[in-house]
Amino acid sequence: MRTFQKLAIAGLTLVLCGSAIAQGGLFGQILDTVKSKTGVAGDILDKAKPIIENSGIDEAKEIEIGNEFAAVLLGAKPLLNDPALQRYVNTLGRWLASQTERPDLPWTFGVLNDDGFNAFATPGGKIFVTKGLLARMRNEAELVGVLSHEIAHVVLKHHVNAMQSKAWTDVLGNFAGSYAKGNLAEYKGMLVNLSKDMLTKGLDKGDEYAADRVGVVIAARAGFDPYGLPAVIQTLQSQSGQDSNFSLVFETHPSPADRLDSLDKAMRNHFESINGSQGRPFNERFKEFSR
Amino acid sequence: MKLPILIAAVMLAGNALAESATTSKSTELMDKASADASIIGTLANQTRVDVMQRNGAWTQVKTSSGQAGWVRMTALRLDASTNSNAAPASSGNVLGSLMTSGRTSNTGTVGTGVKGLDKEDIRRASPNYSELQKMQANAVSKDSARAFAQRSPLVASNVDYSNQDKAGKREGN
Repeated sequence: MRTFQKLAIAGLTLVLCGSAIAQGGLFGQILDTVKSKTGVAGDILDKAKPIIENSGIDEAKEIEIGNEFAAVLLGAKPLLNDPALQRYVNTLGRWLASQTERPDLPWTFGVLNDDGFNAFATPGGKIFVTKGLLARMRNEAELVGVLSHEIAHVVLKHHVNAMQSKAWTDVLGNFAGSYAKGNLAEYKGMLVNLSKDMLTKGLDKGDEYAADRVGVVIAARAGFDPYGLPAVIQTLQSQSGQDSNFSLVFETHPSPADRLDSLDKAMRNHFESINGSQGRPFNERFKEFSR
Repeated sequence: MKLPILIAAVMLAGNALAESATTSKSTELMDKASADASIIGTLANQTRVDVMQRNGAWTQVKTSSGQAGWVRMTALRLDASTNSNAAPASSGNVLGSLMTSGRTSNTGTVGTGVKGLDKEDIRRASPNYSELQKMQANAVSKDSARAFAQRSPLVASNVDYSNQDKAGKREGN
């Protein structure tokens, strides 16, 4: 039974990640070995084998998984009913995403009707910011900083990578089981639970620092002042994690002081000569997008 | 008697928008937002200043004695603001400016006492696929985004990720 559990975990890694091992057929070898030693489990795995081997997380699957993440977030808080604002954030975000190594993902941006201060990336390029975050932006360059940080998570495939990391193998073990059994309703349900887990636990702290460092590069590439992101983190630093509008962002990110320290080291002497734009004033964008 | 009260009220409203900060280390006060600018003073650690504006890595501040200049933004810690619900913005808050419907006030601030999205909200959520479709309909093409950049104008440039790994070297100038 233990062997089966281990196998399920290994299988799931393959289901989700399509790692090099899948191509190398190592999983198949393991299956064959185990099958000869086990009875029932081997039989189930035999049926699952083609499904597992052909279902790595390619871009299409990443987008499909991301849609479940997005639907969960939208189930918690709906979109803000403001077409001009949604158009503006989508246009600005798409310009930023166009500067990355994944310019052709179906990048889509949503403003959640929520007073809290937060932003989320989901696999495949669906990015969210809350109304409460937007209300606290001093200028366009700050909003660019936030969006670029989230875009960086997707460009660096942080969610996809997390799915094959150790911390998620228990969740994924069950997930692979259901997928293997062809139980799609169960598979979807587990995907929903997985997205809830990842959204509430947050990504690896190292991934957050990486998204900060890559985010400022994306902002600079797009012609913006790259210091918008550190300015937002500085705002966060003056807030309390006890404030319910900020608790989730504090729980799922390294401390603002540590992030500023890391960004300062990364940016000093390299970004100071970049004379990026602060962007246009929001009241001008209002005219532009209300037409 | 009425006029001074009105003026006082306006001044208070103006002050409410200002941000203050405290230096987190001893730092040089420069006359411009640049490491090559002239040093016009030194602020001791824990000096309280008013924040005027930010430009790149630099923040313009004004001391209690009225001296203005620029310090590195990383030398400052913003003071916890009493009204943290909306950032001061000289040219309008994004919500105040952009919200065209569903708005409950003209201030662009966010109501206090309403709990922001938390873990419990996410755990309890049922996936909302119709809302997802609405969101997907808002997607913008790469071409539209490029047109937006052109009229802004925003100029894309090549900045390498590895740029940041060349530690200790100063670029340009």
